[in-house]
Amino acid sequence: MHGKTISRLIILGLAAVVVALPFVAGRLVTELLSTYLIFSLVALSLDLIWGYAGVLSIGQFVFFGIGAYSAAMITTRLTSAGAWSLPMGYAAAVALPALLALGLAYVFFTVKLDELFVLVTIAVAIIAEKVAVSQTELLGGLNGIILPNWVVPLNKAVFFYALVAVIVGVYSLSRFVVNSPFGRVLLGIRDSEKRTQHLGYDTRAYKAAVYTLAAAIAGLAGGLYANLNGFVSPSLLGFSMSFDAVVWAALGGLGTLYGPILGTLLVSWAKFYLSGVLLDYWILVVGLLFIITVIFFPEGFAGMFRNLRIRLAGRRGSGGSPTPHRKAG
Amino acid sequence: MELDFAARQLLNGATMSILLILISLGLSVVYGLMKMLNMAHGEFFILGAYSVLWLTELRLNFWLGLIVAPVVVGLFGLLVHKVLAKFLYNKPTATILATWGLGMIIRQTLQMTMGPRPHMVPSPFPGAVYLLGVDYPAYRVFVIAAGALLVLTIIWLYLKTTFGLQIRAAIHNRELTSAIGINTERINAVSFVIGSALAGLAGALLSPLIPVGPLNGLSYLIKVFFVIIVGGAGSLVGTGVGGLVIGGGESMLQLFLSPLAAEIGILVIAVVIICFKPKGLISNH
Repeated sequence: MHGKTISRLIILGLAAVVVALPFVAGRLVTELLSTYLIFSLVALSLDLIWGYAGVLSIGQFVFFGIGAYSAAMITTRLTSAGAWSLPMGYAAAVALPALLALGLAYVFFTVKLDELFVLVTIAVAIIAEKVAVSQTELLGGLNGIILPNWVVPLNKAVFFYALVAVIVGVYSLSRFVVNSPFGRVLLGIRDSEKRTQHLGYDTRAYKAAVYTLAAAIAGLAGGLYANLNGFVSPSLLGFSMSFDAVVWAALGGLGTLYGPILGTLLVSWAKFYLSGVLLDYWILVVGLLFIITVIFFPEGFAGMFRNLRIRLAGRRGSGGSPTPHRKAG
Repeated sequence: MELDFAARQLLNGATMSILLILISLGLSVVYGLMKMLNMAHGEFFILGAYSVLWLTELRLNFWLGLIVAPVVVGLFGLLVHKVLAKFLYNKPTATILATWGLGMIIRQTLQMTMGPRPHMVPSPFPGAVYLLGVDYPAYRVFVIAAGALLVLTIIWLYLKTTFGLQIRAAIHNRELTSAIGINTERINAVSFVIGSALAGLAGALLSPLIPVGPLNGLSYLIKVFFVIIVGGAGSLVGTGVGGLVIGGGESMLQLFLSPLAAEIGILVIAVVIICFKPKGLISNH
């Protein structure tokens, strides 16, 4: 079959699943799936900076957390704005992380950090979590912040559909960005920053731009999370969740945009579905898979999927050429 | 009152610095040699503490634990190195990720076998010593003394023995060292094993003073990384300086700030230092 037909079928299939899901699967599953989809946005944002620009940041959840906390603080405190506080919360959820990212990028990309950048992002994540825990009056400390009741949607199905629409939108935007000339430069930076610089590009600006975009997406996800769950807490900000995002993205397949979404859903879903002793072993399996993936299969699930699709499409290798991806490291 | 607190913080700072230096020494050398940041190093540390826990639960001597722990952890390090080293050579990002996966596995296994809640190891000798005008726990004084002795021994070995010379040569210029016939592979392996063993020993020494749980290794991990990065990787003096800055700095900050604020403060300071001196305060080459 032609590669394009397969893609269309997949998309149609997915659309059908999405529409049917809330009715078939019930409230709890819909809500859980919504949460995992929200997390997958963070993994997507990580793919933008890591998979395409080669910048590993183990701190994307900091932006997620800032987004979530902004939405929470605005809706709980700006009671005078009434229902408007929610859109305002969303605006802050996108803008504040983006601003922070811009500032951090300016500082950290100017200094010659290279591999140390990863450590600095870890530090930022740890600092963020500790700050959230320590500020009890402002940020609720260990207990976090509970959003006002009216924020949490009663109809989970409607929220789910809206969420899927948002994800499709973000995905399309990301796809547009990576396919554009801007995206090509990012790939150049990933493969060799020096060479790209020699070609005359201000790599710092490009990295800062994509880092800011990724932060905005993660922040948006945070706002969505606050909206859906009505509750934010310091564990959302930290180093542990940020590393989770790295695991999801890597397992799913970097440089594909859809891979990390898959990775998030699969890993999170399995974690929920398995429990008890099986869950314990599952976490071991995830750890092992992660090691193997990082060393041998930087393409992740998505890569294996893509290779399968190419093989199915016949020797012509249609269905679009995969974004060539260098081994991690 | 104030002076009391200050003296205590000074001593705590000394304990923390010595411990961090001990844990970091091995990692610093390994990083200088192989650019390998072992994200599971914190787990090696806590495995040392667990070794002592297991021994004391078997009603065996705590002091035996101080010998057994580095051996056990060193052997484990050997295993890890043998399995992973060839895949991760010269791939810093893959190393960080793969060793993080390793850490996940170790933590999960510990949780499955020992339970998620931390255990306590009884202190081998109670009582306090009168130092700097305060009563300071005797065991902590022992840790400071033993730690300092160990660090000095390691430094002496590093600077004065042939093997130490070979390590320094390999860090300075691996190709040339290999070219004159020194087995750099063996140096990598031995350094990694010694580094792991030191972390295990530090864990054993610290076991009566900290909760010994599957997740307790992580908090030391980041501090250790910053010790190395701030001080200067591959340089023992650098590691020493880094240890003093991070360990001592945090304790000193606690004179004016809450413990949590001090933790945040020292991390921020570390990040700032890194931004100005990415090669560390004491850079070798």
